[in-house]
Amino acid sequence: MPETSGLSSVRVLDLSDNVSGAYAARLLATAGAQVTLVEPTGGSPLRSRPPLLSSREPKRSAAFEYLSAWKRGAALDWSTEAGWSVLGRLLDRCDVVITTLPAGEALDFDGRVRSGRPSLIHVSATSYGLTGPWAGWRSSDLTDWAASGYLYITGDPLREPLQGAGPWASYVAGIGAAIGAMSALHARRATGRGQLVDVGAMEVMASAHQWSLVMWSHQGRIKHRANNRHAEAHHPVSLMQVQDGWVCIAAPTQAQWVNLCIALELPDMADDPRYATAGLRFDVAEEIDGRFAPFLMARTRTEVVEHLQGFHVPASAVLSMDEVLGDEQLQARAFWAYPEAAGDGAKMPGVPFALPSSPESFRAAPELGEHTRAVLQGAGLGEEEIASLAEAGMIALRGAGDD
Amino acid sequence: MTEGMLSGIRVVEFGYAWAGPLVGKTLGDLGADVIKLEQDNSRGGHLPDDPALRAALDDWRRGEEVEPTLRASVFPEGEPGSEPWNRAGIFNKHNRNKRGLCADLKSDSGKRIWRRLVEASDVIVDNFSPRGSKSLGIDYETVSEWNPQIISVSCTGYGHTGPFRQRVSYGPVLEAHAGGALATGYAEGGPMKMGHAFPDPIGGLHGAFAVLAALWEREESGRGCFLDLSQLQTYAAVAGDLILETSVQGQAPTRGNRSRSCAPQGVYRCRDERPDSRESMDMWIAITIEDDAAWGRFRDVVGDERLDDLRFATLAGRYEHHDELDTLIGEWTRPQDRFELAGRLQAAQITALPVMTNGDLVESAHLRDRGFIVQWDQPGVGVYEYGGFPIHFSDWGPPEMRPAPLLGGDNRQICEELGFSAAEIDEFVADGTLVDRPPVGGSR
Repeated sequence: MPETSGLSSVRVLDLSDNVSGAYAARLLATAGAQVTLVEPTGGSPLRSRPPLLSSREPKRSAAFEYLSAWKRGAALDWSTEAGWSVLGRLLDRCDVVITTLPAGEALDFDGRVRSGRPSLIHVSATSYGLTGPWAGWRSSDLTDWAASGYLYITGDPLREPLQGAGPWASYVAGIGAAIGAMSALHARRATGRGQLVDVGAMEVMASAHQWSLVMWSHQGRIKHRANNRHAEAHHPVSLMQVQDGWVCIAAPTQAQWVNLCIALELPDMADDPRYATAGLRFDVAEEIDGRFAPFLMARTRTEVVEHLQGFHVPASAVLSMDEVLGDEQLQARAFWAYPEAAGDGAKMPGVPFALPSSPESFRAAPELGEHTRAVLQGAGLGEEEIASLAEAGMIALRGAGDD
Repeated sequence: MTEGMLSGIRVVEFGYAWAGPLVGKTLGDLGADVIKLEQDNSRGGHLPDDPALRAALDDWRRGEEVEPTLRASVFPEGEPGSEPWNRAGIFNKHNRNKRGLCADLKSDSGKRIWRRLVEASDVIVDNFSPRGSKSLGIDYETVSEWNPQIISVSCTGYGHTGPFRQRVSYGPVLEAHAGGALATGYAEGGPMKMGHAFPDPIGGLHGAFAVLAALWEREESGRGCFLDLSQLQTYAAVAGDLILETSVQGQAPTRGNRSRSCAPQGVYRCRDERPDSRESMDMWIAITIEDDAAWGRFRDVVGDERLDDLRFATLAGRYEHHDELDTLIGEWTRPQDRFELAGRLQAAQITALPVMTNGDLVESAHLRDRGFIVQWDQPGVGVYEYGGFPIHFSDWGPPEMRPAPLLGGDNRQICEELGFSAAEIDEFVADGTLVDRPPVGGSR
């Protein structure tokens, strides 16, 4: 091992099989921690999670390739007693273990792994957390959105509520789990003790509301869906149509509103008392948007956005994912990583923000069992022991010179 | 005061709106000493002689629908009171567990206060544009000269480099730019924005993580650092799998409420309710049927022989006839109570959940059992409920909930801690460097 510094001295075992735990571990890896994914010999369920990439056989999961970057991978069945004992030896050498087990199993696991390992930090990432009346309930990406309170407020008020495009409640829970892991590491520095960190997506998402909870507790009002407007007192903070698609325009403050009216060549609107505040404007949003439409529909997304930004009005084109891949800002900031094994042209977000300890080069998601031998050797297992585990089917090895 | 996990860490949070304050709130919940640095117009929009607000205050009558000007601030019971800048629910929610310093940083005295604050702190959080932070003298070049150990995290929309670094943004603007808005929507419709400015909490939570990682790094290296956090990037990061898919497949992700791996899945209407005793409101349940076994259990609960049709027996068949299934399921759920129904379905090992409203979240028995719903006595406001801290530690917590600061509420105490004499502080107050009220005469 090279000399370690910062987070690179932190060793994480990632036992998770869903997005929240996997993203927490990915964040720790992009901050420099040594993360080892331990998956069953048959492969992590994440390896078959949609979206599946059809350009190569067998089809790879975009979710797995994305979430497992910068991790080493070991394949080990720890459901058997012998496998459990091997896992124990890995746990002896790690600082943080991340699980996504259902509530009952997670608490059982916690009792077993932390007894005798007082400094171990166990981070559990689930939908509802490990306690409370819903702790044992089942979940999906859609029900995570339902639990979060975001589903009810997204979409058309006259239609069914709408989920976001990705499993983002799980991602947000993953950030919460990574915060929990780092907090527990800081606490351990002072106390020497590890602990259980219990993170539920429902709560992290409930914390990720801007004003809905106080809108109920302070005013007893339900927050409704508002289509592409920002409800219930902010306009314009909206998606609006232009000649070649859509833009987002946001002008909630007085200064932005005045600038917007001038930019759209409608200066009289800036002085109209009926439009004096963002709240008043929300109630006549149809009328306002109708007056903006001729200017906007005569111009392209790029023309509108560059024009409005010139007036310091927050605005952006509504981009497709394909356009995001070609975005000059993200390109200029060296945001992208290129996981070649995922297919021709494969490109994905790399390190989300650079820390001094962030890895300098890209490391693709591990093939199944790619680092099993090295990980077990690192935990002190000898060649014979490894061979007999492989013989018994409890571990999967890949290639001769793995790692 | 109980010892927090980040006791001994001092954070200066110079944030506005949501992302920056969320970084500060998270660190404050964890026990750091967070000083919220504001300018006299930070809580603008509530200025006492803003003509629109003045008119609204005069017109407003208790018990009526909240006047739109006042809605945005979420005042308790819709009442702005005599000091509306201290009563906005939205501000108080984002800024608990912080102390308040309100100073004019552009004055000579303000610059002295700022320098001592930097020297006495571990972390500075801002979400100003690069141009804004330079003009305020809060940029890393300046502050790291005074305190090389300082960790400065700047949570901007686009980041401090790149062709769009001077662009201005809010969360929904970044959601559009990162592809989230166009990827979200009804199957046959256009783009859809999320119900809140989702990039803000995603950026703010990533920012809190980044600070914790940088503090860890500093423990070992002794060096501070500048963290250039772009909310465009952190939002794109949570769409990483969709972006990778697009790069390989060349096609946009599918939209709507269906699943790519199982069927049926949908959001179905339940019995309407009148949660706030005014109008009747639509209520919904989300249901996911993962596989054939779950489909069998679901048919047992529903007890409608039309679902026994062999066309629905396989996953492929359920996909093919998804519209028809949605109609049948929707008919069944329509008269039912969403909570009672979700309980019955979960008892039968079927994945289902009520589509929670904001009211449901606050009243949730589950969240209350976990201690997530908290309350505190906010000065000038009273005791109200708020969302608590979402991370549970077996060895610590739950965190103490201290109210949000009044504007400039801790000016004197903080300046004393920074070593200024009582006479100097009196002078700061007299010359307008330290203030505790918005400026008269409208926003600057």
